[in-house]
Amino acid sequence: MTTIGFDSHVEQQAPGRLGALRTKAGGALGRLSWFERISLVVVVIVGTVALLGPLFAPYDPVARMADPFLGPGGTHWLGTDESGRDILSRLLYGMRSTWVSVIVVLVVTGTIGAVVGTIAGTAGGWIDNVLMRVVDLLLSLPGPLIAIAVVAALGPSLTNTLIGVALVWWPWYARIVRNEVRSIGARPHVEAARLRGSSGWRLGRRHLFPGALPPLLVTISLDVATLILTLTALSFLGLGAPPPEPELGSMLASSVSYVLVHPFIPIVISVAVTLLALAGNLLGDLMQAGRER
Amino acid sequence: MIVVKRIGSALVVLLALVAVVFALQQTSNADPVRAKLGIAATPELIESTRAQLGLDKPLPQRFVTYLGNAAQGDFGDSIRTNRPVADDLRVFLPASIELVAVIMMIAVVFGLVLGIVTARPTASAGLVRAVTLVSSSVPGFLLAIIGILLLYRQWGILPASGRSSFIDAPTGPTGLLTVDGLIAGRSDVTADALFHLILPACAAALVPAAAIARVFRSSLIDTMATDQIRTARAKGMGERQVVRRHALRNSAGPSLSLIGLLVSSLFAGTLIVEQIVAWPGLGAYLLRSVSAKDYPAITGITLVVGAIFIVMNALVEIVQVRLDPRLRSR
Repeated sequence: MTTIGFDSHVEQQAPGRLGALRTKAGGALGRLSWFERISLVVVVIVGTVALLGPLFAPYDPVARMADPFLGPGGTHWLGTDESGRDILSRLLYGMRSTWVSVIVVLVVTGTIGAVVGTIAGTAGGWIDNVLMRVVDLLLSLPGPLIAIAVVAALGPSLTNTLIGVALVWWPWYARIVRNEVRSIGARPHVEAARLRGSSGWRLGRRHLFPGALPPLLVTISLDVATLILTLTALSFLGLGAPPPEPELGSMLASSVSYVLVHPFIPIVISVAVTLLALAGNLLGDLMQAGRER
Repeated sequence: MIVVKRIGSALVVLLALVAVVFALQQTSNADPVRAKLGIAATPELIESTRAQLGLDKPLPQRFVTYLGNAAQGDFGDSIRTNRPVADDLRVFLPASIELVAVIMMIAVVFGLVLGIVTARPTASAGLVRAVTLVSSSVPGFLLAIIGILLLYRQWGILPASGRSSFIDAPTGPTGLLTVDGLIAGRSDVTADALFHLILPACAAALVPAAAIARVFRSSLIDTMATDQIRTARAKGMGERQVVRRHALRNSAGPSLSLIGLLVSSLFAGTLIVEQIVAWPGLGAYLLRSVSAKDYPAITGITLVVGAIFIVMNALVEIVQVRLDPRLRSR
């Protein structure tokens, strides 16, 4: 990969914890290839639109606005759906719902994974054994199916969907953090901290976990697209927010039945999901490339 | 030895699966008695039905009963269809298994080819990256919709929906139309079933194929950098031979694990594609069960597909050890 604008003095800055992160971010930005610059732009645009979508929505997403099945164009850019609701507005709301759900699930499961992984990796011994056995067991279960069963048991709603998905999503992160923490634990700076009398939670938080954070973040970012598709599938099944709430999966579910008559509607919804997934994959790719340098 | 160990741990995981599903059933607010009898039931009738269903017994005893029933393939009665869930599954499961099997075959072939092509040192890194990123971002349902519009509506090459055009298609013994057609000596049924499979299978295969390609590519690149490949080259072996005889086999491990793991996400991923082509499979059954709050049916699906997933992964690991003797010592 070509390096553009390599900034040598940036690399020599004092390696404070936050400073190092900032240097890395600044240095990485300068070294992006054209491909990565384009993907960064795509990620930022899609991410912003998905997050602030409702601000751009021209109409109420749940109210009947015009005749059903108006084609795209005119006052309704993407037309109207089977109940005469504005599809563009519904898409913008739906994308935000998915995007926020993704962020919530990843922050929550990342945190749980970080805490469990750090505890297991730092404590070692039987605590490590027990925690990792549980994690292994959860990882051997079919995640998406368990999530479906959990949401069905708790009752369909967006909150329960997030709970169901989060329950099956965290073990992988715990495993990654734990393995990283174990390997970092053998390094000299951690030995030094131990000699200084640092131990337990403090050692884990101050010296072990920071080293496990970059691989955790990369793994999390690589999961964004999978999570988007999983959330869409759950909502498609009717396990998300009840209708008429605008959600990508449930919108897709109701539009699929008339795919041959009004193909534009399911296509435009699928494209919205694809855009989100693509932004997720690009983000993961960027993070991974940044870490490999 | 490793086989015994693997089967043992698969059994433990199966037990955990049943326990999780049982626990969920306890917390679910769906009352099986109410669901069975309706709102107008008298308290006495409710009481006697509870006793009849064994719901008045203590929790551990109920779990043992539940486990025993599940082991015998008895998942209770569906609230919606009023038939045993196992009977319903017998109708819907084969269609999904057939579809997922074909998806897997396409994904594996396509993924391996893509992996090999992109692992070549001459492959443009940027192009490889772009292809992998795009192919892992386009969901199967978008491809299925485009496929239906082009191949069915526009050109009329492929059928739009269902899994067979025959009303008198054989229904047994496997439930897989492609196989049953051959067994019954009806090659027209088999050909027709394959025809129906092409569109949904190809559509749903892209994302898993991209995942397999990514993993296979990186393990292939790792293998090609090892000493044994250098030795093979040094003794004058052609590059094709080196790849075929030495590299492929030793790079298969991680991809195999991935294939096992994909089974469960594939099932969720295929769900929407199944609806688009009106596939009479588990997706349709699950969709109807969810909207009818038919909890026994949902748990039945979870248990059966979950068991398939667990067994598949155990098999994958055993195959891996066969392929790679280095794993035997572990």
